[in-house]
Amino acid sequence: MSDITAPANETPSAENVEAFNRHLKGYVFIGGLQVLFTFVAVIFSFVFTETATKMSAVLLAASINAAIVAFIQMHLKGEKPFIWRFLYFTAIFFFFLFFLTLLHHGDPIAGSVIHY
Amino acid sequence: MEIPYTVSSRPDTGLYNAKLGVWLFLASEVMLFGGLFSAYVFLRLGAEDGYWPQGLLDVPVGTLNTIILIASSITIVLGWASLKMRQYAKYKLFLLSTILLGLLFLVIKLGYEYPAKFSHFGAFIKKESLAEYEAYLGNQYAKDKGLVPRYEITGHLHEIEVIRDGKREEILAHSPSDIDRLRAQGVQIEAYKVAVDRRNAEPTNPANDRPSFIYHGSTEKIVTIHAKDVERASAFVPKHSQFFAIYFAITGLHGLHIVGGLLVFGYFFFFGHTLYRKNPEQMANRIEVAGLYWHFVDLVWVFVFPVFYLL
Amino acid sequence: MAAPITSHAQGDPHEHSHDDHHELGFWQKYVFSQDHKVIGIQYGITGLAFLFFGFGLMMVMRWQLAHPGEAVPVIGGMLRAIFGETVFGTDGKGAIGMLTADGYNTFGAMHGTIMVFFGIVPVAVAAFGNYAMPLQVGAPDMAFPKLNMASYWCFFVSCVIMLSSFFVAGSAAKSGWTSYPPLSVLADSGHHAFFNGQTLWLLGMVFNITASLLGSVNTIVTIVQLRAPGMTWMRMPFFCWTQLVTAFLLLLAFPPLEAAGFMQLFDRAFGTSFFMPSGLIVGGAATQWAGGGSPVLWQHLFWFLAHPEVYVLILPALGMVGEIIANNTRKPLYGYKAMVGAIFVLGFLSFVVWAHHMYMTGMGARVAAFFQTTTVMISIPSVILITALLLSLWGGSIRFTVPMLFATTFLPMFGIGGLTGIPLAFNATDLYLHDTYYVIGHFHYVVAPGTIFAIFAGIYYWYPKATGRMMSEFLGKLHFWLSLVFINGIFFPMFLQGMLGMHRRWYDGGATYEGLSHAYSLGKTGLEWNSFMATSAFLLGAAQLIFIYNFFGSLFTGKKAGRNPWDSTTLEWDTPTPPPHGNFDKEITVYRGPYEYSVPGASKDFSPQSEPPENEPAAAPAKH
Repeated sequence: MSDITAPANETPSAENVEAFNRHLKGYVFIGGLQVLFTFVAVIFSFVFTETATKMSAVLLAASINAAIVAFIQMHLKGEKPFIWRFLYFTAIFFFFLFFLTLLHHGDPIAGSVIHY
Repeated sequence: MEIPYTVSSRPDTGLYNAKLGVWLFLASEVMLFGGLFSAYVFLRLGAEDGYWPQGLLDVPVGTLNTIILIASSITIVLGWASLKMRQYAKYKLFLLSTILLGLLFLVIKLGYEYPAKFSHFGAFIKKESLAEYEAYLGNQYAKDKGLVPRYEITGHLHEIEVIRDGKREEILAHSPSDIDRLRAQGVQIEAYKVAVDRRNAEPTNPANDRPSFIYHGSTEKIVTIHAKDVERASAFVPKHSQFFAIYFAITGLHGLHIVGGLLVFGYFFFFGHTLYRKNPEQMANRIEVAGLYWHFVDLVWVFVFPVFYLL
Repeated sequence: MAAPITSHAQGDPHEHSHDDHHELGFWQKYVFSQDHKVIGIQYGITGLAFLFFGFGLMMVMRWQLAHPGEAVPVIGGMLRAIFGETVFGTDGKGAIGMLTADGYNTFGAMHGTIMVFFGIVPVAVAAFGNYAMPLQVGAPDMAFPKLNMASYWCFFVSCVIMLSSFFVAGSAAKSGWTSYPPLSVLADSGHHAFFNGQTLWLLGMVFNITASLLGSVNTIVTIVQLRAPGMTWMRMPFFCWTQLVTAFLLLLAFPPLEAAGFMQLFDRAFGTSFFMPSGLIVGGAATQWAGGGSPVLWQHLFWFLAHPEVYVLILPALGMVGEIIANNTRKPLYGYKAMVGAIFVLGFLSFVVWAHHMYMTGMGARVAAFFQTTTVMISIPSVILITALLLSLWGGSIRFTVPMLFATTFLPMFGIGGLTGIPLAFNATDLYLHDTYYVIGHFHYVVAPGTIFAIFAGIYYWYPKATGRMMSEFLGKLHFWLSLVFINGIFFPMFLQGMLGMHRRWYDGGATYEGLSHAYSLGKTGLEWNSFMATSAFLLGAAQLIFIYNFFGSLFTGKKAGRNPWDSTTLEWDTPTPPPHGNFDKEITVYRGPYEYSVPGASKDFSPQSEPPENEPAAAPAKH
């Protein structure tokens, strides 16, 4: 049984180099997309004046950026089902943590003054 | 005795151990930063109108930091690709770039942003004294225009007027932390002389209605704020306001994660060649796993930047 | 594909980075070991020591409640010398060693923290999980041995920090194990800025949480990736399932508490007001905090962890009880599949019930209704589990070995704990019972005669495998009966005191409630019950000395045990005793389920998982 694959000091073959350059171009393009969406988010924050629209627009741009990081750079797109299933559960608990505490704000005892 | 599936993948899950391990760890990190972000939402919703500041963070610098982290994400994934293709020299170059970019991020944050905050002064005016400082707050103008009320005068602290041994003195302030030092000495503070920021210098100028992209420094206009009118005053330190409290908490924790990542990368940079010689595939896996952690740290920043700097 | 190697018999031609080819030094073998069994024992001994220490704290508190205003006899002076004057003052008659109000709060807060995070979790989750789980899945070790070692030492650092907090000015944390602000942010703030009880508590918790998180990652990866060939998911012992769900709970629920602890540290160290409300007046003066924060935010973040935490405390216990019941009834567990489903549902639901600890915080009807519904729902999987375990006894050929005594007793004890939780689940009844002794009785029943009895069962059960010796059966039975009687003596009256309305965490022993009707407390006042409970506590403590003597004495004088003294089917009994580094002395393949006892037609009344089927010579195992 061996967990060692190709030996360490082989010189890369021509097709290896070509494949690598393709990867390089691909990742640099992705990086460029991310920089673009960063600027989009910045621009949105100055263009939109109304708070709710501004928040939605900026967070949308940020989410696209985050999706690029997660799906492409972290290779989530091609990742195994086990990891995906586990991340679904994490997402569910994350939303409970995030939004249930807000219910507290939205549902105080009627007539009470103190808002924690 | 060897632990199976350290390098090769287990057939039914298709994963090697460390890959599963790091995703599990990242899920817990999602909950960690999720807890902090949920605290942010909770605090912001609970904040009274006018007490959640905007425009106090340097957007161009923040954008630059975001680009730096994005670039470092790209370089580490390219480093991993190089390693998979056994191009060791290229891998070391990309790893070095990642480390340097990460260090640059920290230098900008710790060398410029944080110190700039610690020397920036802000005083919240008591509600009953707002009328006196209308010239610098412009609340009537804000009300007419439907803007959020303003309760804070910000700028750079020039002098502090104190009463020491019964005599009125004017002390040149080197930084707002002088306030705490004077208080600890038991000196009574009478007034703050502040070179105010643009929004307080020209509160009715429409250009100052909303935060601008270019970060303007303070103006030359000196305003005297009497201590009796001040609810609380300090530098932009964590205790200054809820905004800065959660800002420093999240960026501080994020910064600690960057330091952790840099330590791991540093270890691989200086000591990784032995494992590479012995088992290059395992080395590639290690870089992949460390890279996943680094991408997560980038992902957190992708949300931190808009939430704090832009919204 | 790499076949897992669990021995050197195959003689790999290339070199591996082994540590058992060369002799390991003392430090690497016994102290900084990467072997899961050594680490498991390290967690176990540390955890048991803390359980004993936490019990001691409680005994002092029980004395105080039974004899309010009196110094602790005999050892009062010694206690003051150790814990300081804040904790032990002088009583009205001039005797040294009376537990002060601050001291009572300190002991109460630390009793809770220590028992939960430094006692039960290290023993039930880390010790048994580390020791038994890799053996049960047929793995040579945990997936990340170095990380495992780092986790233990991270935990050890947290232990040192927590213990050291007793010796700083103002003594240890005193704001409850729940650490609610504003009290927890204000407490001990007059002393040293960093070396004070509450700040050290927060720092200790950060290290403890980190160790837990790293351990959970290790557990999950081991169970998913390192199961032996033939060990399909449904052939895994129930204990491993409970460890898996427990690890998920720890992994996802602990981080918000770490975030909250971080924020409380900020509040204390940097004067932020995450949790400090506006307008707080302390001692007649405004505090230095600006305010604008929310104490309830802490409660949300704390209970988001702490509710799953209580399921972390019970699940490994259920797992161990399952193993022992199957083994001692000589038949499979009833409803194994239903039990596995139930623990997953339990784990999932445990994340969405937390605010039932917060019914009194001023939440509106909708939020209360939501949490009430989920809380009542979560009783369903719990009942499924207990019923399945109970039904597993039916028709069995029961052997009342010492582990079995503890395991069967777990069922009614946990039943009492669970059933008494029902009035607490409903908002309306909780209004009366919240913060009374009823709550303390409820959760102690689940954890003390519940989990701790299961831990004892596990220790008696796996001790022969770890040490090669059997513990004394006579002493074990004595320990069992005495513990059972006295533990009920401590906790049952708490329900009565609670229904009387007696408030928890109060130093006066219930004096405030003296004038009330005793209709609900069987004619005795709260204070009278305290005497009864204190006596039970001391006798319970004495009974544990029997266990300690048995535990250490049997190492030398216990009957020698072979590979499989209990005639059990699971894989951990198929190793040499005690198991060496690498665990198994042969290639392990799993051929059948975990509880194949009394299989019709088999030659003996148990069919070990790794034994090839009798009628076919070394038949091919089922695919993964």
